[in-house]
Amino acid sequence: MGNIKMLGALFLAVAMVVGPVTPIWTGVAEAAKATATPLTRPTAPLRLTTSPLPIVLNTKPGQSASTDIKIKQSGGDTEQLQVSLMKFSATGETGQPKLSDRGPGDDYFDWVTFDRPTFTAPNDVWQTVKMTVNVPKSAAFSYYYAVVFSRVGDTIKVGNGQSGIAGGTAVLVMMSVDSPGASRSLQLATFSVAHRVMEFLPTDFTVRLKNNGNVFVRPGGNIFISQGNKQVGLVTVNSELGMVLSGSTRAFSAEWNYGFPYFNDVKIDGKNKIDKKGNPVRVLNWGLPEPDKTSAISSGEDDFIAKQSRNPLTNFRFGEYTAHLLITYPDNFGHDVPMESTLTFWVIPWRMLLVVLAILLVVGFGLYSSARRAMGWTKVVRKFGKRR
Amino acid sequence: MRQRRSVGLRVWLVVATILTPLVWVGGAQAGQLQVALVRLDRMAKSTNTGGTVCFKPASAGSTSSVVIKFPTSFTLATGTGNFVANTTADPDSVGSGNLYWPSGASALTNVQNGDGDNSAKTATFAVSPAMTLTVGTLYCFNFNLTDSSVLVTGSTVSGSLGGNVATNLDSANIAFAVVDTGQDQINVSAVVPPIFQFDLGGTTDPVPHTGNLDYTAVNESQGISVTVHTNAKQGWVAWAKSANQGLQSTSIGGSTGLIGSVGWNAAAPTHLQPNVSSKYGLAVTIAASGTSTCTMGVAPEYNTASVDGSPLGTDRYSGAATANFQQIGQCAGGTSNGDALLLKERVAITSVTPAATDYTDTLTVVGAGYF
Repeated sequence: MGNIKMLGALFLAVAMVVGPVTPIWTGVAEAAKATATPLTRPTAPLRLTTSPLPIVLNTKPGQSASTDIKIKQSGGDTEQLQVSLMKFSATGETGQPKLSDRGPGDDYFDWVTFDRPTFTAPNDVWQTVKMTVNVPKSAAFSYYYAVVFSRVGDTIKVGNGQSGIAGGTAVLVMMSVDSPGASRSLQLATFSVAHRVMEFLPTDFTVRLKNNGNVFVRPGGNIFISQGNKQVGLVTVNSELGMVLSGSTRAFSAEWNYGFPYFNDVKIDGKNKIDKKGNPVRVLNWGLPEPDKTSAISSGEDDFIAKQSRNPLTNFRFGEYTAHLLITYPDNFGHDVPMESTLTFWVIPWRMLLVVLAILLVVGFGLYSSARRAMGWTKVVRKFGKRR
Repeated sequence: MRQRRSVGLRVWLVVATILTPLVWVGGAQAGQLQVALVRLDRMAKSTNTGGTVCFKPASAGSTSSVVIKFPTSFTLATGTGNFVANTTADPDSVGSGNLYWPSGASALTNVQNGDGDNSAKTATFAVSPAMTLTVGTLYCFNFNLTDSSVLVTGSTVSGSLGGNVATNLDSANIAFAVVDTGQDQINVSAVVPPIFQFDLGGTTDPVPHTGNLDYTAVNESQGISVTVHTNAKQGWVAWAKSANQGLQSTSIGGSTGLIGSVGWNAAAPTHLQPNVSSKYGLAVTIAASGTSTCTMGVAPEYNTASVDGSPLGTDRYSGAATANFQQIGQCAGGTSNGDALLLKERVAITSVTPAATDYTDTLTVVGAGYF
């Protein structure tokens, strides 16, 4: 009985201590929820700016990796923003991502935390959200996250025959985990040229690389173009610093246009004009291309062009050319692994040649006619001389 | 006799007393430039430099030369005409109000290239033909506007090194200073971060944009634009998904209250047929093509511009409103400066579609850069 009384007193004491705490905890949770989910749908236009993109993380099993993501909303009002997580993969061969929701077995979503899953974003003020990935010891190879920022309340239903529009911006995060068995390996699938024979430059090269490893890789390299033993051109491959995701193939395009004359893209307001078939419209330019001096990244291609003669005649392209591809990627130890391939192509300005040939024929015919006429007169003169 | 001497001495003393200050003042006005300065282009030690010379004469008259005496620690190339003079008051061509020379300065127009003399540490600039200088006017000229090795600052840091500027009429001592390497320049660095700006033109989009749904025509919303600015060099892509995969009426509920989406039709949008079937879908067109290097495109499943009747009537198409994100368009291969897609909802109903005022859907549009 005495024990029961003691237990009762203990229960009462605990209840007195815990009792007041519980409502306070609930109150905080509800307050946070109320702040995060406005009762009304935001009406201001949504303008989100994020930086950087994409983000590359590298860590080891059992360690964590983190990155700061900056976001700014400029819709006009102070807004509540939220962070959510998706994944992405490669679609096609151009470096285009494909977003997907979390699937069964995607437990790597659980490794990710954000220091501010929802936050107040005043108009036009940069906010920093820290993303931390606590990688378990069992983790390995590559993980592809898409961190999506959106506005709280945008998914509240609208009525009366309207569609509600919610928006968001996704920051792609690629994480590699250096575990035993990690393999950085690319295979040169194809190295091709759009046309083996062309009338004028540019010539469009395509380098397709297959990532047969299990970690994403960023390749880089050049195409050296030569005629005989003389190098006449240099083209950079993957100047955009794109990645090849594990298990995917990516095609990199490169164009060599340094020649006289050359076809260049027709621009309207700075953009390529596209024909009905979706191809860029090009016109023949009777000059030489200029190196891109506005590029933020120093390009070996532009340096090479800067050193070349600006005399159009020395850059007249005619004959067989050899394109030698040398591309590298870093292996597991950071050493460059080279891949090489060579192809040949022809530049034959056939219409110019036909015009020249036609001129030669006309001139030759004229000379021949003049010669025959002169010979005819000689005969007449001789005949006349004999008669006399 | 003594009195005469005394008178003569007194007169001499009076005259001397009166004249002495006048002679001193006159000497001061004739010899000392009112203002003299040499502004070197670089002050770091052992550095090639040019400079600007300015002076304000105190004496009226003409001068045929200006001589600059540099500190003994400076190194000059000895030669004739090797100090290249010019009278460009505005080398940056920024127009009136430029601050390259002191305000109100006049060019010493007849100045010629100077002769350097390392042993005397002087640069002598001939003024030919000789110029009559106006007292109180500030005259300036530059030398070695493109820095060359004809003048090299001293190798020792010092806050005050003596020098001199002299015309034929006046002169003035001036001071030079030499600072440590890198202390005369500010290294400006900046980072332009990769950014991605995503604009959604609105948050609601009534279908049709005025009035009620009409079963005799394809109903279309006004549309919401999706605009992107990014310096990502490979371009961007946009996706959309639908919360209801159709227009759902909560009051009716269930499948009866759903105007469902057209089915997924790979590579082409689906034809909407008013008064034949109730269907809902998305139509995407290029709204704006900014001054960018990327190439805009619409995913073929939503590209209604290529198949819609012309003029638009009942002959309209749309793509599927799906539960998962589907790509609606992209701008590929370059940066983007205001490229935009226009996203419209289209609905066809029949005369027996259940009436309700709360048909609704929520579309979510997400954009991202290429990897």
